[in-house]
Amino acid sequence: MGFEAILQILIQGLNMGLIYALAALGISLIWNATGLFNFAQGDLLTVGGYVMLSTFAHWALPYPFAFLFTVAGMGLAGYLLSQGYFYPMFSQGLHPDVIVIGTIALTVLVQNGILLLWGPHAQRFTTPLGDSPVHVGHVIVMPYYLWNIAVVVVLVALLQVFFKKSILGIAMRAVAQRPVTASLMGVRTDRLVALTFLLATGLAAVGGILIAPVIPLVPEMGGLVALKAFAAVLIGGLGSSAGALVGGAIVGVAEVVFATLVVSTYKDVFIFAILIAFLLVRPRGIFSAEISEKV
Amino acid sequence: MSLLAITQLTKRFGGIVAVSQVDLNVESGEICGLIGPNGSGKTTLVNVVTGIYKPTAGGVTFEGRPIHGRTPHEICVLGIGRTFQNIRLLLSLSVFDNVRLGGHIHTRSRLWDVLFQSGRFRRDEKEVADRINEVLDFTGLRPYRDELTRNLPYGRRKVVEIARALMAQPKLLLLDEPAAGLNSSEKGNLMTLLSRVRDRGISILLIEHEMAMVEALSNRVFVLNYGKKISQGSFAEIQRDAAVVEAYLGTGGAHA
Amino acid sequence: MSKLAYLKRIGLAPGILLVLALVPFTGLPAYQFYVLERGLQNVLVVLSLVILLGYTGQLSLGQAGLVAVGAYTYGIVCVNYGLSPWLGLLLAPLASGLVGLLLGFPSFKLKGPFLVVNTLAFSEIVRILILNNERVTGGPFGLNRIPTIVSGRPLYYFMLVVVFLAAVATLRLSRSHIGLALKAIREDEVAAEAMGVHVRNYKLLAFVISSVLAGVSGVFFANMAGYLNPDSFTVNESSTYLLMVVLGGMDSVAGGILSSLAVTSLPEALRFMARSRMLVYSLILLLVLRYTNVLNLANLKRIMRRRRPAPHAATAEQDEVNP
Repeated sequence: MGFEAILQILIQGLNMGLIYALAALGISLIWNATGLFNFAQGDLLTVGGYVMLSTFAHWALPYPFAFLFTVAGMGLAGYLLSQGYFYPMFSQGLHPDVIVIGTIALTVLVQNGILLLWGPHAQRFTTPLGDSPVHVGHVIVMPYYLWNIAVVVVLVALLQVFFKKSILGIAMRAVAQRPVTASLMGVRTDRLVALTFLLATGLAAVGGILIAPVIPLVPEMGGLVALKAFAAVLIGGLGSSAGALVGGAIVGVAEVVFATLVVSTYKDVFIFAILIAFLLVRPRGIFSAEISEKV
Repeated sequence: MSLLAITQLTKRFGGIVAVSQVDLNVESGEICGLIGPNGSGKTTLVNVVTGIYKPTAGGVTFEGRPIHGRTPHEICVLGIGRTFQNIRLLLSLSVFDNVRLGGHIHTRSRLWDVLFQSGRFRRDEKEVADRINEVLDFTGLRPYRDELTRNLPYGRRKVVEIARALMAQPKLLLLDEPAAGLNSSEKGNLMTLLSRVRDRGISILLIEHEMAMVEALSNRVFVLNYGKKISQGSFAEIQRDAAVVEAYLGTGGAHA
Repeated sequence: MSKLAYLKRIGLAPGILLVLALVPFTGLPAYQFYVLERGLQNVLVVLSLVILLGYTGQLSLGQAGLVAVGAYTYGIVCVNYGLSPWLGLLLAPLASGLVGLLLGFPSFKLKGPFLVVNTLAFSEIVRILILNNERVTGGPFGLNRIPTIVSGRPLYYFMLVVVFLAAVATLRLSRSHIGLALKAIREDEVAAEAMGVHVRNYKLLAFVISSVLAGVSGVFFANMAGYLNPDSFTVNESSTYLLMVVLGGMDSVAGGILSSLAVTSLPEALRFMARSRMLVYSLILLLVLRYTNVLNLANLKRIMRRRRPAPHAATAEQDEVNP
């Protein structure tokens, strides 16, 4: 297989893969802070795409403006969701299964909301860079491929700096590792959990904005993206940012590989089979998350 | 042949050696004490014996047969019962149901019998109920039979755990700090109970910090520190052992 | 056994089913009746989750896939092979039980989100396989003209009888040592194993039993709808089943029956809201879930129990512990 074919697969794969990675990152963030696995991450991503559709495509706000507006708006929604719905459930001591099912109920709500506000038909918008493919030798590169990859790389770098250097970021990591100690030190756990949700929904929103040029938006997209995002986060290692990236990349590239080289209709089956294999053999994922139980 | 024979048992977790080359044995009909400062590896030892962990090195035999590497439920079937340091009962269920769980390995009904409430199922249920009542009487828990375990005070919950372990009709009982958190009258009752358990022919390995209890009940005592066995013998003997004194009080000249 | 104690023992479930048996005589309009039937069909899946999640604590987003296996096995047996619907009724739960066993094998080692994702992946694989095997399953065009075992009123009563038997079986399971073992697994797997419960086998048993029930539900779905389409067996359906079982109190048979009927009929009851109907439906579900520790069947029972004098406490200590 030629070098150019490999490059083509890689670029296309990373394009979607990094979007999965964004969703996976959001899931890991919330998991680290609260022990909750957010099953609604895929649908939140979809909402982000739809909001951008309205602000950028329908109301014709300039792209950067619409981008920031969407991400900020979604972030705020995440903050409110945490304070108003999920954190109260944590503090009431509801069974964790119930809270997880709460995120599942959220997916139903979000899908119905999207259906009501934007209708059932597929809709799409693209970046200001347009849809004219760029030819680098035999490799076909859509303008938004590069944009997507660049945005994710910059975003992840910013996040690393945030978590390692800023006081807020460090506080959030403290809460993630030792919630009781953090709260004893005067840290308001509920606010930090809310901030985590804010970050996670913000990341989901970015994912939605980036995915719309690639796959047209439909209300059910949340479910389709979700499972790939779950595969990404579990293969890479739940709770690990590096894992989210690597897992996303693997899923994205595998998708393209299976679609082009094997039977395209079953590409998802192969990905899910890989996921199940990982769950069987190494559920901790590539960059292991710690799962232990003291007896 | 010892009832339980632990030979050169070592258990490592990554870089941490929790148990190191421990030799220990329990004979039929005796109560052995297992003492040592916190973190000396006592609970880990019990967890290896009951199959929750696999040994890194060394072996465990029960009635002459090797049991290391077996699963916990197999070991329960073989006749080893246990209680947990942090009580592990089903708090949402009644005392009756918790004790009933202990008798699980003796049930003979299959799914078919349950669904169709066959004669075998009905006989099983009657037998189990009788045995539960017997164990409840033996441990003094009869009045609390239908109480939700969550509503019981701590001391009573500990007795429920012992009753549950007894339901399985074990030959050997591993008790992990049964007296922790008990008041003095509860401790007295526990000592009496454990003597009666031993009189019934059930051997006991007793992990305890409550020295009076260890002294009163044990035939022999083993002492662990930092995962190693540092002494064994009668209570009087280990009490005089300098290594034991040092483990508990540190060097500095104080005596036991 | 005294009459009150007997009534307590059999619970609310038979009463609810008795009421349901009388519904056809109330002159309920045809469409509403159909909704009720669907609610009844869903009860079987909810019962499957009462066993798998309520008793054994295994959270599964894969029930829709198992319902699909049951439904399509029935459909394929009847349509592709032209065999008797009764044979379909027999083979469908066997097929779904087998798939459930297959699902159980990777699942028994997994907990929490890992388990949920695993079941979801399985369910999606089933759906995709159905979608892409047009010759056998009709693919996206669906499987049509599926014969029924019986139809109309008799089908309703047949389902009611099956649901009754399933409810009785679930209750008997719950009270037995098997049910106790499953509940022990749910609350404390390590302790359960130390007490001699073969955790792996019991988990597999839970998966198989729940898959069999889901498969039977699939057969009834096929009977009621007359045709099958893979779009009816997605993660949305699996999510709804989970919501139903949680809202019913997770381990309550009566609660499961009631919530299945309630949640299935809720979109119909909200018909007057036209376009925002489904949004309000999902909002209601979210809110009830949020306050599930307050509004549930167990609390209702507790409130009803307070009317009778408190049981005589054994010690003064206990009086303090028991409010």
